[in-house]
Amino acid sequence: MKNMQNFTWRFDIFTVGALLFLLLMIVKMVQIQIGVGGLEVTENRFQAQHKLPPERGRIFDRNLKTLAFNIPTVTLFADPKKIENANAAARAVASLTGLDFAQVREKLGQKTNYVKLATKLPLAVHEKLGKLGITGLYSEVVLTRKYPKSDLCSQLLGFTDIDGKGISGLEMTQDFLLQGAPGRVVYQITANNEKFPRIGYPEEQARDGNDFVLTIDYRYQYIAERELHNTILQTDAAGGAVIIMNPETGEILAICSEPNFNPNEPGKADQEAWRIKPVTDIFEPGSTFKPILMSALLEKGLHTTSDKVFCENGKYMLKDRPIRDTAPYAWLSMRDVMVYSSNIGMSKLAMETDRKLLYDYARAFGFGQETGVGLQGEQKGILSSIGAWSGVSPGFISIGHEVAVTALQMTNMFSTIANGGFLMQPVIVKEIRKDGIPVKVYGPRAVRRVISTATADTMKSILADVVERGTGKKAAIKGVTVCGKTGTAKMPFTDRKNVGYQEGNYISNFCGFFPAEDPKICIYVMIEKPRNLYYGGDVGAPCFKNIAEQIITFEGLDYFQSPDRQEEFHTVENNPILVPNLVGCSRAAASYAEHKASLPIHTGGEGQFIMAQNPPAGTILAEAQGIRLDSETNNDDNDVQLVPNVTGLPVRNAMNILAVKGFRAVIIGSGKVARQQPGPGKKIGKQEQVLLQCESAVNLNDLLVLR
Amino acid sequence: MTNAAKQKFDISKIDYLLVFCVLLLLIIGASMVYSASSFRAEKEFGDSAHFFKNHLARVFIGLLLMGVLTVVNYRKCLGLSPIIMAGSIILLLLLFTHAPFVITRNEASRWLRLGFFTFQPSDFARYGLILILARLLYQNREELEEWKGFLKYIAFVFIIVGMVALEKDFGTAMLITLIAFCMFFFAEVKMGFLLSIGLSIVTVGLLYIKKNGYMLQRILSFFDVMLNKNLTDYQIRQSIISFNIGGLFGQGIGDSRQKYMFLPEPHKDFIFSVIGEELGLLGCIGVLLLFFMIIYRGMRIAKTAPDGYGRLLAGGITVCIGIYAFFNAAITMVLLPTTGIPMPFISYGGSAMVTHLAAVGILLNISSQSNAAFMNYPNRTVYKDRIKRLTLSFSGASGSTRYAKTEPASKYRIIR
Repeated sequence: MKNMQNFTWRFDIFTVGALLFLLLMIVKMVQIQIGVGGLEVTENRFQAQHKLPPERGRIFDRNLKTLAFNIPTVTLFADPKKIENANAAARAVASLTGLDFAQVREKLGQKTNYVKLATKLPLAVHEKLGKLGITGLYSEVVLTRKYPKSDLCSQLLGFTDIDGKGISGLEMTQDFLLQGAPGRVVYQITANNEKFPRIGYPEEQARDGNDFVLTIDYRYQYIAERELHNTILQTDAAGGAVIIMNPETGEILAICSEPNFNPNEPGKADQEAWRIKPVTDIFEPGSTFKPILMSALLEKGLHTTSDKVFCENGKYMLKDRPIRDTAPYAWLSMRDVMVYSSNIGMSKLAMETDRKLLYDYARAFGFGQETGVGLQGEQKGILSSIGAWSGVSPGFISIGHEVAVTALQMTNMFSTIANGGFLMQPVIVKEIRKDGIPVKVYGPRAVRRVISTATADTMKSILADVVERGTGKKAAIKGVTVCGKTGTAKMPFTDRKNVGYQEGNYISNFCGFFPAEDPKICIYVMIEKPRNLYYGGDVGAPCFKNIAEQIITFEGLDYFQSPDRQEEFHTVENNPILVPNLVGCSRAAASYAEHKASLPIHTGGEGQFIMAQNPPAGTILAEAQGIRLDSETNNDDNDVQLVPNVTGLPVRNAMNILAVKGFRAVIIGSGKVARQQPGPGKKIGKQEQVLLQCESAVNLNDLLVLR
Repeated sequence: MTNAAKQKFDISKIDYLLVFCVLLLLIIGASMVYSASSFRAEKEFGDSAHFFKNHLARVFIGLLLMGVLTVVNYRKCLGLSPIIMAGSIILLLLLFTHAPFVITRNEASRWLRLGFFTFQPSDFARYGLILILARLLYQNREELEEWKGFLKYIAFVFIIVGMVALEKDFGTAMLITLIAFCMFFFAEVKMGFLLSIGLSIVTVGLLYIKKNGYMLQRILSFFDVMLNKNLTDYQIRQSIISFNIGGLFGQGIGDSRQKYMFLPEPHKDFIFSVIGEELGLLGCIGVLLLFFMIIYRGMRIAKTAPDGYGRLLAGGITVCIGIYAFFNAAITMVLLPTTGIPMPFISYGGSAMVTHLAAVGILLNISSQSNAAFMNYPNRTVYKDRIKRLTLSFSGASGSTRYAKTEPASKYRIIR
């Protein structure tokens, strides 16, 4: 029998062969690592990005009533190539959405991969379509902009396109703050183009847009829009604008113009209606411009209100140009030139004075420049430099011709007179909020002082006379002193062929504010091309009155009574002194208060802040007496401290006191502290937090997200 | 056979290094199957561990069978080999019928379903052939000295291979041919016989290529592909991309992204690409070295087997595992043209996993009966002795005479 044991080398040959093959494979794998031509793989092969749309910021009025928000709607689209039975699908779509069957059928017959069938459908459609389960029909839920008060504030708000991009108004100018930043999810992608989330892939949440709180008060806005509309109907006018402003702060409470439109359906209106006319349209104002020269003359002391001017009995030729008054006047005092709105008197005064004075004051009141309110398409108007003036220009400019202004500029000028001489920066945005927390607050800002308080007071008395016994009688309101000025101007030709003014086409305007003692509301009314009646006193003034009366009705008459004046009255009789609150103030602030309240104070201790005072705030002193202040530093090393009582104090003061005691203050809202937690007298450890709920927090509850 | 039958099962002689390699490969394989199949399993069955659980069940069955066959004398398996072979042939023939339990995928019917278990008859036929060849080739070793006897057994092999090939499983058919060829080689068939058979196969192949011109074109284009040029074929492209992404250290276990439907059958035939992507070049080399270690130890077992049957059987099993492992790897890295063969111990696949593990059991039983005379010989002494022999031969003394004095020469030959 043959012995096979001699042939072990045959097994070894296989082992060696396997080893060589192993080495060959290693070489091949190294070669693959070194480089494979044309097979470079990028991450994109495995990843698909999906955008997460942010929610566009909402817009509120000053009372936090919603003016613009977002609702989920359904967009319906189809892939006609995937639809098997186009007739059945079209019938289903037609019954679901109420679209025309023939139109849908035609769209489904197109030879593309994508057809948009309908947008802004109610949410229910999404669910119903899902139940039907027709292949090739798809629906997607998207956020759509909705303006719940339809045409209220329409021009100011503007609108967005279907992709949520601002097209006009605030939606456009503040688009970058409203739109927010989209987030993204990166999905793993398979060879079959399926997507699924995978741990470790980047995922960013969308950052929603900022919410805007406007200075607009929707009630004021509603009244303004309604009254403007009524006036236009009554006078058969072509258009008009109304602005309501708080003269103290420059906040615009209402701004509107006719014609109007519904921002939910902007396409249905003329593009003309999209403009915010009060800032985009310029016009010659007429007599409402007169207070400029008047206040300039008074401010410079060139004239007093009783200086007489000869008014030429109603007819006057300024060089070769005629100037007329509505009624013939002979000698009028400066005051009466305004009260009866004598063009002749005013232009004669203008011709007498240095033309630079008129120009400077017109500039100082903000004409010929943008107000910077930040609205779309704001015009700066026309105020030519002195070099471009003709010989008669000062006379015409002083009575509101040869200049072009915006309604906002006019409102701002009257506000300047109303608030005692400060030209305020007009504001339309009160706050910008992120997740309910204010991130930017626009407070009142004075641009410059234009006239002194004394001049402003004189001007107010003149303007009050205008309403009381002059051209603006129809603006008078019982129980409230109203100041105002009328203006009527022929409209100039806007085309190149004709020079001069259109016969029969007028701008009637009226600007007024009230109450005269402490003006809170300034209203400007401008009516374009009224028929029949056209004087500012007959068209603008009644409109002003209607608006003002309604505001007074719902705000209550007390709102317009000046507490300052009452106190003044009180002070003169009994001379009492109200002790101010100094607790929580810094030492410097306390010494300032001493100066202001003319009370001698005695401060003890070395601390930075006032911790206690005697007598307490709110005490009425019959005569001036010293106040003792204590500014002790907190030398107590105990870890447990008594919580001081800070309710009723302004937030800043409360924070100061808590900081000295070593507590951390957590603040909700603004204003004075309404509640504190833990309450006064409780013992808590240092560095623990004291929650301060402030007065305004109560109003903010619907928006604030407590964290 | 009577002489060798006296050998007894000795647990201390089992090749534990081989066991270690196999277990390590099973662990790597199971984790790779889970990683590669989880996405598909989630998608198709809603359970990401669906394939993984099945895989573990089969590994468990396989290990059980391996344990049993380690203890059972391999001669009993040889005795059963005609029955196993006959059963395999019947199963193969069943595939030609259109019985309801025949499963056809990709126009090829390769699977049978028995209850819950789906398997490929060719997996059993492969080891059935190895068993029966080990028995016949040693039993009739004198017949093989003649052309007539040799051709008889060659014809038998080709019948089996032909049956597999007729099911359009050309990859398996070719590998079985190769394994059988190796067994003839180990059975000390004359080299002239083997060369002439090899040459005739090559000649037939060349004639076939000459007749069909496109075959030459295909072969030439494959040489391009081997050099990573013109990677137009989708599967091959994806596989190469996987290796490329993996780099030296890999993307980390579970972090393959080619498995997301880019790779074809990532838990089966292309699992080595997933290993390349997740464990990198070093992981691949590690896995291949483990397989090489199995080949090395398997050949060692063959050389030290107690009898000729054991030698052929151990050689056949080792060749089978080694060829399947290396050829699968070579296919994924495009050293060989694509045919569907799984990687032993690693790929998902029931019958292959069970049969390979059972074969390892037989291999271990052979190792447990290995020649005690040299298996227990301390290696240190062997090397000392070799050095002694070397120095003696340099000093001019006759090695063989010196040699004869210490130990019988034949035993040293075996050690090498």
